[in-house]
Amino acid sequence: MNRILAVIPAFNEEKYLPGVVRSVRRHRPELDILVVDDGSTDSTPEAARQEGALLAQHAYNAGYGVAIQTGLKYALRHGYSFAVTLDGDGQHEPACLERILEPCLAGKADLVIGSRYLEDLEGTGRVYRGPLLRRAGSALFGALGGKMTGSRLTDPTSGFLALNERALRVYTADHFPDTYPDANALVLAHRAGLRILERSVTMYESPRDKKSMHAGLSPLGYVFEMLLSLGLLSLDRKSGRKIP
Amino acid sequence: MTPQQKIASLFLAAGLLFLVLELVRRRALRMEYSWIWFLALAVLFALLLNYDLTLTLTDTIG
Repeated sequence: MNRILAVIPAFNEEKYLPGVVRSVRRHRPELDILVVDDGSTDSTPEAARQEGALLAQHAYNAGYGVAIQTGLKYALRHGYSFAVTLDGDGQHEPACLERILEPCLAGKADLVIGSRYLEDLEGTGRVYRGPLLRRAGSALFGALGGKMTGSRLTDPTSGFLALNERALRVYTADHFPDTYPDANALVLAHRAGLRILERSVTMYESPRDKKSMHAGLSPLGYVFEMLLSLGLLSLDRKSGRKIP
Repeated sequence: MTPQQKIASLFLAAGLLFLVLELVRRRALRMEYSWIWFLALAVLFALLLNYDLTLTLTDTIG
């Protein structure tokens, strides 16, 4: 039987995490759930324990990419065949887990990206719009990443992913980008020979009372790092070709 | 600045740019801290390509 781990990176998510864990459990009761507490200063770890989730803790806030890697390394070390990642603030709709997991479980893809920008296939009318800057960023890096991978990428910044064991090995490699694993990560995944697929999912706006990881000047830092990372990858075409 | 001096300086600045890129690629320099080096190199290139700007700056500083 396939063991599947749901990885939920969380930084100060005491308010939303219990709802996310319960929702995942309601939709996919067979999944083990791992909360990666990324150095929270609130009661996120206690919330995870109370909900009966597995818990991995960072001693300090290491960032989203590191938290994801911690969760995926846990999955590999504990013999999980598949993993899904979703945010701890409830942005990702757990009802869509089935949609991103299915191609992985069926062996049709190694890595499935839940895209908020793909057409609304279920006709729910809930196609994500989001802030203009975010859409522009997704379009820019989707175009650059798409050109480098030779495939259509509508949502390269999505953290709603399903991975099989091959993808887990690529995403936990030492050379993998651990700050913002977005379009650059997809280029590396493509170079490692992973079959990448996008599936339409429902995503919600980030809660208004939550401080975004892209607040203040950080969007500028994100754009700089992503452009630099993609630039270096295009100069170094051998990078990431081997699966560890 | 003579053309020879300018060319030599540009080669030096290009070498520094290559060094910074290589350090980032090898992860010896973290990407999140590399912007300050790129900013410094952009200023260096600007001063090399526009020598009047260099003179104005040195006059201003005294």
